[in-house]
Amino acid sequence: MTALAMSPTTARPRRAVLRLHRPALIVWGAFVLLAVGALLWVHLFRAPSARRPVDQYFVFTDVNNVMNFLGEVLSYTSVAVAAWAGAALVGRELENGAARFAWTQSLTPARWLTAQLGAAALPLTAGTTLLGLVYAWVWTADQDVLVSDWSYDRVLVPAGPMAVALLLLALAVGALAGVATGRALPALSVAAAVTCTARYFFGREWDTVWPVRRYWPVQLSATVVLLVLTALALVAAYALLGRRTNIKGAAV
Amino acid sequence: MTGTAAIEAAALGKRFGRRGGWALRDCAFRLPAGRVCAVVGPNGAGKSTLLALAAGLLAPSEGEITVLGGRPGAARERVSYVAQDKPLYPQLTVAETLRMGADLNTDRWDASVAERVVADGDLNPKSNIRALSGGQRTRVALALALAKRPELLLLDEPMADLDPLARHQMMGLLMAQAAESGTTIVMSSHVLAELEDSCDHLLLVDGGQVRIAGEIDELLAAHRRVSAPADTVLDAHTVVESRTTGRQLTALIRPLAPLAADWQTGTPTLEELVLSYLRNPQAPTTKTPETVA
Repeated sequence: MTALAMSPTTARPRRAVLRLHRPALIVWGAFVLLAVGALLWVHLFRAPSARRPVDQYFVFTDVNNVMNFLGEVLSYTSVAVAAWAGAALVGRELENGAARFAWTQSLTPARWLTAQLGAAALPLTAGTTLLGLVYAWVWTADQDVLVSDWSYDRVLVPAGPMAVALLLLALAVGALAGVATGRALPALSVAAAVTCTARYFFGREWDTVWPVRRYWPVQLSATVVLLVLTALALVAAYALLGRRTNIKGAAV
Repeated sequence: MTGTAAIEAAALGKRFGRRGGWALRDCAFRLPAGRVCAVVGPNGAGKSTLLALAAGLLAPSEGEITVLGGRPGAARERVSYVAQDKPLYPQLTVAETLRMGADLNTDRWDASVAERVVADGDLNPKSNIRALSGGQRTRVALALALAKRPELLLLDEPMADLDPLARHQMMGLLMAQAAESGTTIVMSSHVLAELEDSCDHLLLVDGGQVRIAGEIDELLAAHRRVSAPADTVLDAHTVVESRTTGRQLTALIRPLAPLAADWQTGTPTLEELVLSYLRNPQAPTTKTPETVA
């Protein structure tokens, strides 16, 4: 019976999650397209313009200003994702009770959470990977006109695998905060604060603990630590959910 | 015991918070499959807690509850549950909500049932759930619950928001479902009249305990309303309630011996029976044999 309840043929929860969060998916898609467009604009138009000293300087189109601004925005994406995951994905449906609708269909609460996280993680990972690749390519290709060092958080965070790991951590922390508080607004605050701290620490402080500061060791070690933290947050979220909903033993 | 049990509880208790009061305590009963069961009792008696435990949404603090022969929650695909506040996703439309039901119950889903229930209520499939009235929301929730074609249907105060016509119609739908598919239906209400005509089984929950459990016919047959001279001694029987007015004693009893020929006796109505028990918390618990867990 348990096997039947968990067998994937009795429910297609991912489709249901996508239906619930279609607006968020559209916003994310638009954001990724916009950011990729802006990065291409920097590479194709602003960088060449900076190489021609005759072109007039304008503060909003200066290659370094634009690139730094994009780096900041991309490095804080994780905080927005954490807030969304805590409030809209998990916290709100616990607060308004709608979760009890999902939990009494043909799937366990844990499988519902898995579907929610999976449906969010896939587009987030794909989008961030694309943004990271484009950012790193532009940043490398236009080194001659860019002044920010790789160790700045606005370069370090969005330009490598750390960006993906930070986003997954944001998602997991959001889920944990949502399950723990059972409310949208507290979950939003807690998840955003924790993720902001993680972004600050791994963006600014992590590289200083290394005797020799080199890009890849810093990037990869931060990625690994972030993924471990993500796993811990997920374990905690599932354990809490199990305690809330009486699914001991049949968790995932 | 006859047949299999839809729900079986033994020493079941639920307390909210470590220091909170007990919402349910020491509940033991057995609900045979295929019944239409009314769960009645005053506000705060523990009816909703009992249904949420059966739906697997709450963990018991003590004791055990078995649903369709297994742990509650292990049989999710065979159990439908409609909570008192009819939880649905407010941002979806009616049509999207039904599609969500189909996605989350692929094997058992009967889309035609859901569509019929919704169409009977003149609901626009494109309206948002958040824009529906309480009664319309109830209709959508019941459509989802029925389309799942459950073996056990748990309904917490299902009729409270419905107008009399809709109530009659929904009750008809539920009874048809019970008759066609042998679905066990458990409905709670604090308005007995709402359930009296449709239910064949009764569970009276009061003060966190099951006070009466059994087939309504058997329960009524097991009790007598008696009028006798004021000095009559009723010790030979189980007395639920007795009142003396002037020289007359009126009582509701469970006879354990033949009744004296000079007493006036009659069968109580269901309402008299329930009210007698509710007015007299010290009256003993009554359970017909097949409901003893």
